[in-house]
Amino acid sequence: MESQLVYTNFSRVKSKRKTSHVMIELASALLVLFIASIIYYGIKGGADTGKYMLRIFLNTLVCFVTAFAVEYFGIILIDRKTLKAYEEAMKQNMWLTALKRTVTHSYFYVTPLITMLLFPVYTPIHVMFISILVGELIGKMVFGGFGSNIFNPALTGRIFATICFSQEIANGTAVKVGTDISTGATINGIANSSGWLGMYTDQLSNLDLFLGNYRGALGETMAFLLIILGIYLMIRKVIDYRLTLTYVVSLFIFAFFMGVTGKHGFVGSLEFAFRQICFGGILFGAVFCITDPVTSPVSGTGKIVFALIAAFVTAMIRYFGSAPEGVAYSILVANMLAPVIDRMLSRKTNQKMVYQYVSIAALSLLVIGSGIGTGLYIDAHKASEKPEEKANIRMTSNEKFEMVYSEMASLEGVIE
Amino acid sequence: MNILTSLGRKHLNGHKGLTADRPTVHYDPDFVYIPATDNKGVDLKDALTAGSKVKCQTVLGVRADFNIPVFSSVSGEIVEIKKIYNKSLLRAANYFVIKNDKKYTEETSKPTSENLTKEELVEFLRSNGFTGLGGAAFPTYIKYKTDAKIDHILINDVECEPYLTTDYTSTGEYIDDVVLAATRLASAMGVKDVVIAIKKNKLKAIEHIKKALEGNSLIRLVLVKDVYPAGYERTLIKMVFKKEYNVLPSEVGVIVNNFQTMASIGKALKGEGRLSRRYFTFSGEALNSPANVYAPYGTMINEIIEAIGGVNTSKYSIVAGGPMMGRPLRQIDIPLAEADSGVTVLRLSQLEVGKDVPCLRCGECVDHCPMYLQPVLMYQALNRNDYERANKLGILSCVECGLCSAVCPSHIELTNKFASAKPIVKIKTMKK
Amino acid sequence: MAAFYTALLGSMIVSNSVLAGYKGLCSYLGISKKSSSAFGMGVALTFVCVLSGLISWGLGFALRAIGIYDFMSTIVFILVISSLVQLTELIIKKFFPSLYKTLGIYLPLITTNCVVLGLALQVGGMSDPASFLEVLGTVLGVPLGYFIVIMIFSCIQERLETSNTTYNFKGAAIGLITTAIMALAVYGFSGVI
Repeated sequence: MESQLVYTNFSRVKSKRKTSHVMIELASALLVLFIASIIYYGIKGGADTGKYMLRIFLNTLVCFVTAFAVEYFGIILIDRKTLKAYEEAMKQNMWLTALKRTVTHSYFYVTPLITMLLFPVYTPIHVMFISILVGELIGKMVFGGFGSNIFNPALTGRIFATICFSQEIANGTAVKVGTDISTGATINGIANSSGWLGMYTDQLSNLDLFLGNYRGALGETMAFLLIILGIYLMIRKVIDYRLTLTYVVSLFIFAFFMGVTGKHGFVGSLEFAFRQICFGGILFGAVFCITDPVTSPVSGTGKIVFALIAAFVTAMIRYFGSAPEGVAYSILVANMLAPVIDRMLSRKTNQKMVYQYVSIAALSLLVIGSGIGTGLYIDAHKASEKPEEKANIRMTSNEKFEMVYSEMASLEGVIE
Repeated sequence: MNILTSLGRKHLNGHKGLTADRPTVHYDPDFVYIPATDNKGVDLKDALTAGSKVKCQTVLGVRADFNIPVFSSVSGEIVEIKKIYNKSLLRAANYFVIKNDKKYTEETSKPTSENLTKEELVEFLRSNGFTGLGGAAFPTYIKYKTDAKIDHILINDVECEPYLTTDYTSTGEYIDDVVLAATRLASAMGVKDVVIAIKKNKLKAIEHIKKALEGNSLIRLVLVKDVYPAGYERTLIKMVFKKEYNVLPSEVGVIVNNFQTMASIGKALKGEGRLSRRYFTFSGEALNSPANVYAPYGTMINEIIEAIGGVNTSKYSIVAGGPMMGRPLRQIDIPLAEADSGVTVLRLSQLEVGKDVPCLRCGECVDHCPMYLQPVLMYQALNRNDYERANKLGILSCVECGLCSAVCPSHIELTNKFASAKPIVKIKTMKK
Repeated sequence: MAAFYTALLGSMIVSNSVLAGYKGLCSYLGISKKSSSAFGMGVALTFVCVLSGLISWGLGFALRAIGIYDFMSTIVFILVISSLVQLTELIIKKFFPSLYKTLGIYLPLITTNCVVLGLALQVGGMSDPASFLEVLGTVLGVPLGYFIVIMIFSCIQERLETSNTTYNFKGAAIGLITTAIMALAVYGFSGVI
């Protein structure tokens, strides 16, 4: 046959594993978590199961439709030139090409899944809508779409909605879904008011904590599932193991040293540290939020430094700050510092190894030192005790809760 | 440790089954074309003129840049000196057109003495014009002229480039010449340790080598993993000797030579004259029957492709060398140089052209660069024309091995961008 | 000593003048294109802030003693600040001429920079003479906080140059949006110190 030699300078060996494969695996892991929490609410809902399912369905619908709409119109505005070139070259309608590119080039399905899993089940629809709108539009599309954003879009929307609608998320009764799902002291409220050093195992046993047998945000409670998903994603190289492991291990060590100076003993501190990392969104943040490759540094040392800084800030905000949970804020602060870390490590990765070792060692010492300091501080200030409250936060079917709110718990009914 | 730094290597699909362990093809061209210029385009000194009769290993001229002679690869007559396209200079240059009388009569040469001193060895290497047959064609005598203390000689039989099998095919045939050359070179340079390195999955070649090395206390065999770029000097020295050097391997006391270069040296030491024909690998999915072709240097590429069966697809792309580091060609009526290992012909539908998505900043390129660079940051710096930052990131150390583009999940063309930006960075940083 | 560290870290991170107080945005956006000029701006601002803060604190006592603090404070502090800025400008012009050229108009604009005036008014209002350590912490913390934020922002600006932003948003617009999200991130620090 007539053969034609074509000169092309493009590289001839390409990777079989493409970005779309990575994103689809990440979305499937999120879907597994989502389905597990649906099953949990279905089993434990009791009389209100139908209302839970309706609420979850509505929230999902709102999230996906808004995300798709924002990304679709965003791509039409941003990639106008590319779309016009496609239209001329391949005679495809510009609007249809943008439709396809929303899925293949912009991966719109990841952000709404993460956002859904960050909110509790009884969140009103307008809160979810604002959250996903702000997150997608201001956190991602304005910067230029996929790959150009500096901050994690899901967390941006989450924090914005939390600050604006903290009362709605706390109440939940504004929504006519049910009267006995939202009223209950959160685990953060209890821990905050009892001074963070207590191990309230009579209110929430270790096994319940590990299996997620309590109410919180949709994706945060099931520790065992998050650990399994995290290990699976790390083996498949969808997320970088350095980020996840550094974040979780440094928070574990922080809590361990806090427990040691808080007089829990060696084994008791291990149990205390394990409990501290199992609740409050740390595992979810470690597996899905901090590992977003677009917003984290590029080199290995940069990633470890990034995760250490995020862990330190998480611990500071959680134990000292007035916000109930520090994961989202700390990951945004670390995203802010990611270009600085990249800039300071702008050389060949095997040069000046001394600086790299020293910076990692210094940050680890900071984490350990502040762990010890936090334990001493909280132990010394235990004199100002709040009145004891009893709150049963495990969800049993058809039971009304009786609780006594302290001031702080009522203000901080938000799970982050 | 590669939690912080890069791993520097990756296993790639080698496609070696297309040509390895298959019967080779012998091809005798009517005309061969030997370059009449050196690497910079300057004409050879004392060049023969048209009409001279030549034999294999007749000196055709002396290169001005390294002062080494250029030899004819066939016996016959120089028909004319013509300008045809030279793929190293990227323009037309002078070539000797030699008519092949298919007899391959050699010039007389005598074997050298058993014990050579270092100066005699360097002169021998220079006057016989040995250049590296691994692809870069660096003059061998300069490697041995160093004043540094040499402890090891490393013979590179790794051949990490996909599709190429020329070293593998010639291992069994030339192993005895290599052993002889290694012994003589080691005694001349005072080296006590010679290593032959080969990938651990090339079983037939390993058998040949093991049989030839039985009872030899000077030379030993080292098996390396099946990764790319294990055949690169720097990576291979790190894998075999665990040492890293700055500019030249002689800093750590190692000299690296290709297997076929050593075979050529061995034949010349024995008195049979250096190799004038070699196995060129013509491989790729677009060829009807890929094979190793035994042909003299200077054969035209399109003649060989037609002789082995031609192309089986309507649109194809051709590179001189392997797909990772080879240079794409615009035309196929050009001659094969001495250092070319072969030619790869690929279907255009195999290459996914122009389907890149935005950079994910995942860091896969940083984790696999053998020179410890950060391709993603260099790419961003070049996009905003920040050449000082690109220089600080070390873009001038890039060897264009192509591994970053091969591992990128977004299929971004990194290597091309760096290759085209390196001259600009060099000029801009020299102006200071 | 604890008062010093509390004031230092508090004014540096928790109530950062740019991110939590929304002051000084003009020079923040204008200078942060290159990190070398951002560095110079930060150092100049630190110099001006420390001196003017301490002088304003001292003058606050004098004004309160006379009794005209309420309506004369702003004018007096601006006088102090502008003379210090002139002094700084003279020093920079003599010893660092390249930095002088880079900073350009933004050096005299430190006079109208809200960060300095806000600091002077805040410190001038501290009427307890024993709170010297706290004042020292504040006058060091505020410009250092500005300095840290402007260095971070110059690295972010560098990254934003290669992103796919639309033409309408390039430059100051996307910079302001980024600053807004940074302010959102630092909001979580409230209550730590």
